[in-house]
Amino acid sequence: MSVRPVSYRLTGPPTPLTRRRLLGRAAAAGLLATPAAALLNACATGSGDGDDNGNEQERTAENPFGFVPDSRVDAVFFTGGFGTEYPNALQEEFQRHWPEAQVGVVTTETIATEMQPRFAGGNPPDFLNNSGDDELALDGLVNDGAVIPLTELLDAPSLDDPSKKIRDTLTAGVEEAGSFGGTMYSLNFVNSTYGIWYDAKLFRDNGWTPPTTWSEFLDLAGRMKAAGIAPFINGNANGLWYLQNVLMEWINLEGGHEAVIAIDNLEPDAWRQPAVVTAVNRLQEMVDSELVYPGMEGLTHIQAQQAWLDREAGMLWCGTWLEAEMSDDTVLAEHEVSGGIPADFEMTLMAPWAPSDNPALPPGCVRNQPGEPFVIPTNAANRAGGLELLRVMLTKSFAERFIELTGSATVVQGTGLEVDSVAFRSAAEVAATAPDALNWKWEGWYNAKMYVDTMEPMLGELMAGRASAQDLIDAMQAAADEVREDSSIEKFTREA
Amino acid sequence: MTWPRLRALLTKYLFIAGFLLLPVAIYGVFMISPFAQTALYSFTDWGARTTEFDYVGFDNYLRLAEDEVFRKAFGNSLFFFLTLPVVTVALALFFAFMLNVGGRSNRAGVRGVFGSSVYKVIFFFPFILSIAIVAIVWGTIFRTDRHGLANAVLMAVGLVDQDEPLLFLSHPGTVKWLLLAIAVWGFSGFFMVLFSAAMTSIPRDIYEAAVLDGANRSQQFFRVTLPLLRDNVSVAWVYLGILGLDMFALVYALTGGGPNNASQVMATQIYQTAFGSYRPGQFGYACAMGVALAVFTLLLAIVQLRIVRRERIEFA
Repeated sequence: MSVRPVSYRLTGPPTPLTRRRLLGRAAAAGLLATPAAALLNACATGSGDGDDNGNEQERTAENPFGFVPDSRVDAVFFTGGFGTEYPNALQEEFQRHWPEAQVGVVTTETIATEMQPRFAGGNPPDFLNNSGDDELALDGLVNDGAVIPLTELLDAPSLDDPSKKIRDTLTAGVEEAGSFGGTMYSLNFVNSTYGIWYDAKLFRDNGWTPPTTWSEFLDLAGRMKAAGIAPFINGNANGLWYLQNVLMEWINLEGGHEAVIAIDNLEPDAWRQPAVVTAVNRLQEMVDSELVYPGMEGLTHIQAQQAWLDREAGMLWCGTWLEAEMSDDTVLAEHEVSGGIPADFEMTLMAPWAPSDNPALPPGCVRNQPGEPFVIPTNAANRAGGLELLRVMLTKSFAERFIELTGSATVVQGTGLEVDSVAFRSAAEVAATAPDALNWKWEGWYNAKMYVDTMEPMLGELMAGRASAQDLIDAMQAAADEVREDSSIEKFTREA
Repeated sequence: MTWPRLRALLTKYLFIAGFLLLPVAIYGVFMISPFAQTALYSFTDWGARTTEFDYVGFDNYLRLAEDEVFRKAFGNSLFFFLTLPVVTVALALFFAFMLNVGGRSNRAGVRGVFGSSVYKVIFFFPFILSIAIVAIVWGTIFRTDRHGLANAVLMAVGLVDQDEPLLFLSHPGTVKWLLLAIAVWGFSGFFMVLFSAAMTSIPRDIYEAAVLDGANRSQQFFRVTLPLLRDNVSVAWVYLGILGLDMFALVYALTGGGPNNASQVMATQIYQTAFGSYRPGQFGYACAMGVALAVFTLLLAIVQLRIVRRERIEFA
């Protein structure tokens, strides 16, 4: 769908309706259109052999995974975010290194719809770009042992400089972003920076400056309201995930890393810490003081972003895919909006402001995360081929080609230094000058119970004024306690 | 039975079976087998991500009994099951009657109201729209900020404050009723045409006799039209009941079951459970929901059919 292939987002924002999506899923809907629908139309479980490494030959320094040079690699790409050109570019790049190899490229916007039957049937692809809002939940794939750890990829020699391990050619945080319990299962290829976006021209014309503390935000919000502009907007109909990021960034800023680590590690009463109470109450304050765009409860994230571009609202939360997303006419049409980015709009990223005047972390901290996950299925017929394709993808020459084709930064060190875009450069600057990085993991680790069942509905209720800050805190604590006691859910912890 | 006769009989049935083989095979593969598989998987903890699963007995069904969202979804499905047929049939019957026999009766013959053929087309119109278009049209009308059609109109006439637009489908109190209204708007045209066709097959002289006897329009409707349309109304009732239990496309497209499950129905919950975020054993659980939905549908359809069953009236 239309949300940029998001980064760290392990399962992504909830599903909005788009025409393409609805029509594209007609088959699935048709199955359910009769109430007595049988869920499975072709689901006889196949015969997958979990221990078969597939095609493999002797491993050498030049061929660390034992890739059979004349074999075929079956690669599947999500194309909702970065288009259909880069998979072909990767295919060409791979064939430069392995002229006898064949790469079968499949592109789709509905990964789970098309790939779940293949996982279920034991014949998954060799290489999967598991992304988009119809991605297969990564925690599920890991829990079920359906994808392999990528440690051997990180330890393999880089194609650019065989004296270096691939691990040492990547920007910081790649391993952590794709890790479950200290082991990396997904390679996140695109570097995204998240934060609050504003129009630098609008701010300059009005003499406004980006706030760093809550008082500064309140002061700016008052002036924005006086100018007839809603201070903050978020598309709550399908974009509560964005708001969750605002909240977690605030908690991280206010309470420091200990506060978030306690939450991630499911420590008792972690959701009752002062930093959480402050942050959640600030959200309620924004509603109570009417500092948000009226009627945003029913808007999609695209409709909200367009209202912001139309300067009806001053600030919104998003990641670095924002500019490309709002330049895509198909995406705009799917959400019944028009306009796109005005010519004089200066799309600029700022670090989030703190929810108080004395936060634990210094101003300027942002979340900067490698996203766009790639995984290698356990039952892949040519696992070595999938790994080798990843190794080729992590070369500088391919990364530069990717940036050229998509305008998005990659995790390959020393690439993308010359891109011409205000948004791209402002994000790079915010990321480069950030004194510390924000991060949290519970949302990916315990997505179903804690995010989908609890955080998302409670945020919706809070923002619509039907629940209080205390209700949200109580619900989150109850969900965390439930996960902790549930032996069927695999637990993860982190120290830093 | 003598051998030649038996052989003739066998030949005859084999001959018939030969013709039925293909359709029965197709039906078996695409209908019976998925049903059987759904029932089978409902007793497993299959997550549909690998080929492995264990049988867990009735665990999924026990979990279903404690699932609050499922209870909510069941309640909402029941709401649509009860309301959708009543409102749609009533409206469709009213329109059909007015368009066919509701015209001024002081002139010779029985006819519909003036311009009835134009109305028929207009009423039928929503039914030919794809559900995706219906969702987009109503989504735009019910957009929750000042750019929404309904909000803009209400703001222009001063009924709604600029800063407090109505939330329509994003409000738990109104969402179900609006979905019902949209469904009725979509379906009533089709059933109006169905009832119209049935009404034209009622002999005109019955009406003329009724008019001569001094029956007014409501008497004509309740004493003549309705009893003679009983079969059609029954079929429509059962069919609409099943549509009401489903509501998948409309709910999925317009609200996704939100806000906070306020419009969640069983079909959308099954879809979200089976294909949504990861939960251990989710596919088996979704299959159990599917089986439960199938059982409810069957039971409710049987009840409905019992209620509406009656002897046929012959026009002779």
